[in-house]
Amino acid sequence: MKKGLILKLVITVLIVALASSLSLIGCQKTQTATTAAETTAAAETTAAAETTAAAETPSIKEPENKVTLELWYQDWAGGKSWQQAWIPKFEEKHPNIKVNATFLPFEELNTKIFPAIAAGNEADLLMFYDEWLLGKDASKIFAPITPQLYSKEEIKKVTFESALSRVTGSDGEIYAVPWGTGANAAGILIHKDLFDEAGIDQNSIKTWDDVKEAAKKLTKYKADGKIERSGIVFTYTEAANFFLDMIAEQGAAGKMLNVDTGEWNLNIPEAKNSLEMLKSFVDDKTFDPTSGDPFTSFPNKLAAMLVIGPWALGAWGDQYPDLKLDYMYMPKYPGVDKNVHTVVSWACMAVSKRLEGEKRDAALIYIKEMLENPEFYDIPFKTGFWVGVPGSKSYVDSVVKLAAEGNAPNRAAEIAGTVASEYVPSIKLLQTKISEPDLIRAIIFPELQNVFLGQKTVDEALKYLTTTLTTKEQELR
Amino acid sequence: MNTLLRKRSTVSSFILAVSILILSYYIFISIWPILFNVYMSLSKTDLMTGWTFVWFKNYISLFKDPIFLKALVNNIIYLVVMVSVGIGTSLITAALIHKTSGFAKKAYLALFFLPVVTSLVAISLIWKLLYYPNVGVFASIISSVFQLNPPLFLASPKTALLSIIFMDIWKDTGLRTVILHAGMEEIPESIYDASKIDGASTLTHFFKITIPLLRPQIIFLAAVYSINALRVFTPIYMMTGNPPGGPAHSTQVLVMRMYQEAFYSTHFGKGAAIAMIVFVLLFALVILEVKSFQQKWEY
Repeated sequence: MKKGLILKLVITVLIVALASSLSLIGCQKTQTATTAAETTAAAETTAAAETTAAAETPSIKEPENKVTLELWYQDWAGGKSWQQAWIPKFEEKHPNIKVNATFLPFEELNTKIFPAIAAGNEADLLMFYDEWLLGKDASKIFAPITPQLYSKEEIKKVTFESALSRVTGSDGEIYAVPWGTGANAAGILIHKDLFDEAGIDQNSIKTWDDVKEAAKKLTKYKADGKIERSGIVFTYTEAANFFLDMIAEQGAAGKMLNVDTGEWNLNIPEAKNSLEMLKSFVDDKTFDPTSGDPFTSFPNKLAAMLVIGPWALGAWGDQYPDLKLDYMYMPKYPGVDKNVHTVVSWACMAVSKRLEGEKRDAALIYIKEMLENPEFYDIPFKTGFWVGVPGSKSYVDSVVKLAAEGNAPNRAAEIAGTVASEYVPSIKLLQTKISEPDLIRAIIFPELQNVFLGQKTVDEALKYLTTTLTTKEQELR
Repeated sequence: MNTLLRKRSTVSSFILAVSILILSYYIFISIWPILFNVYMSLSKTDLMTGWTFVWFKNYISLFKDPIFLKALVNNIIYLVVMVSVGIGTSLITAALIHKTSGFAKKAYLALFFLPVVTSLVAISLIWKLLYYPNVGVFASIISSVFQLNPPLFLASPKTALLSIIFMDIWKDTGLRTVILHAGMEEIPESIYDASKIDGASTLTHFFKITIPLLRPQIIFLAAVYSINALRVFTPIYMMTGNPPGGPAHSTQVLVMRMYQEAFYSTHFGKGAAIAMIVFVLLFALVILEVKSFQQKWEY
């Protein structure tokens, strides 16, 4: 009898637990349905108010009470130094606003932000990269920047319109501010002392043939003929970026991706040329694809040149001050007259949807200061903490002007000016819905590696990429 | 008598009520996440912007994804090598230590056990440096001392996974050795003495007596390390996390794939589907283990 009673009780408990679980799942669905309905209603209200709002000047009030903002920011050597120099200046100007910054490595920032937002425990101010938003609706993730901080017309005067496409929500409002780009695959970072040792003048390098010649001179070989120091190496992200850029430079962006159908086609001569261009460095024995992570090998002078954005000049200049580094803008692909950049990571700042009242205003003030206070960009440009393209149009114009007049405060600022003047006009974003972690890291670069390591031929790799990217693209449409 | 029965009944009811509460709590925190995960695996969601029920599309998509299939194969390779080589080497080490006595025995066991109590993250980072191609410690020793071309270890798709497995085997050799050694200590000397009279050699002792009598420990270790092999993540991430999955996806494993789908790409539905697949594989392994333990052997 006792056994029967216990059995009945256990069964009762199991049924209760199952019912609770199912009801919670139902609540999730209901919550999602309710949230969807609320969002639709909110979007309609926003749209209706938009006409009125557009005519009004947005007003953000300085907080009257003390407010503390939590900021999540990427931990890279130059970036950390930059924010640590900037925050005290900001707090001095806004005494009621205190900013606590948490610095997270790039990988952790990527994997922390969206789960934290889903869980409702994200920081107040969030740094992220715009390509992480591909395939997502920004209006459901962050608090709006327009019309609260700027009107849509105003923000296009403050920052670059091409940088706003991914941070624009389904309701047409802007949900984050692009404050800078490290300018992926914009050029080549070099060890100046190794160049001097080899008797190479970096200013004489104008074409990719010049780069190949320089790579041959800079490569060091062991007694058995194996590479001891590569003349040139590629980071995994920038190799994949560069591969796509070269295809677009040959005028084949439209052939590569059919935006209407979501079909990729890399079985085209332009893609083959691009991959063979990269492979030629392996064949010439100036690039050792087994030399390990370039983020370790390059600072340890196991490579003389590195295809990467100029942000690395700032980061490693700060982290390894003894290294003599310099930067060359990317030569144009043979036979074309301008560079094209199809995969651009704009570093953005957004405000948490959870914030209200004074805290939200404080967060928006922080973002406004980043874009409009020249002191923010003065810090990296005077110290070399970061070399890239600022998101502030007016600052870019001033830097480009200084560089053109030969009045840049230092080499880093001169490089930034050159990059800024060339890079932004050359941006023609690939209209893919595949986010960067999948497109670049999971799909394209491993195939490039297969080719570099001799595991696959160029044609096999391009065939695989065509199939895989098409499947992925269509899954997201 | 009635008072006693009533008291007993009250106490029994109290114990039952508490047991039900604990059981309910346990079921809620363990069953509910599994059920939610099942539901999420049948959905397309990033947990922020929408939730669409897609039935088995995620599973179909996974089994058509060459990277997922590669991860599955890599996990199987990990399991086979880890279990066979890991247990084999630990058997040999345990047998050798078993021959020693006194302070030497304790010292050897302690030394072998040191990596077991060291953080796997720390060990992974150190071995990543040891494995560095051309200039790492191993490469330098192989080229300068043995005058051979060092393998590329983590930099080559052919050797990356095996390099990580080798490190993992090394790390837990101590634990397996201690367990097997304890089993060896339990085997009565009289069996070996009797076999010596029959003319059995040391090798015969090892293969015909020691190993069969260590079967429960071997099965236990095989089960535990099979489960570990299916769940492996830390050394893969620490040693070949940039880019994730190693050179040309050669160290891609199921849990890493789950992590990438869920947290890099925010495809939580697909991540949940991979989690369910891992759960089913682990469950099957546990069932096998339980059946193996229930088996009785006679010698």
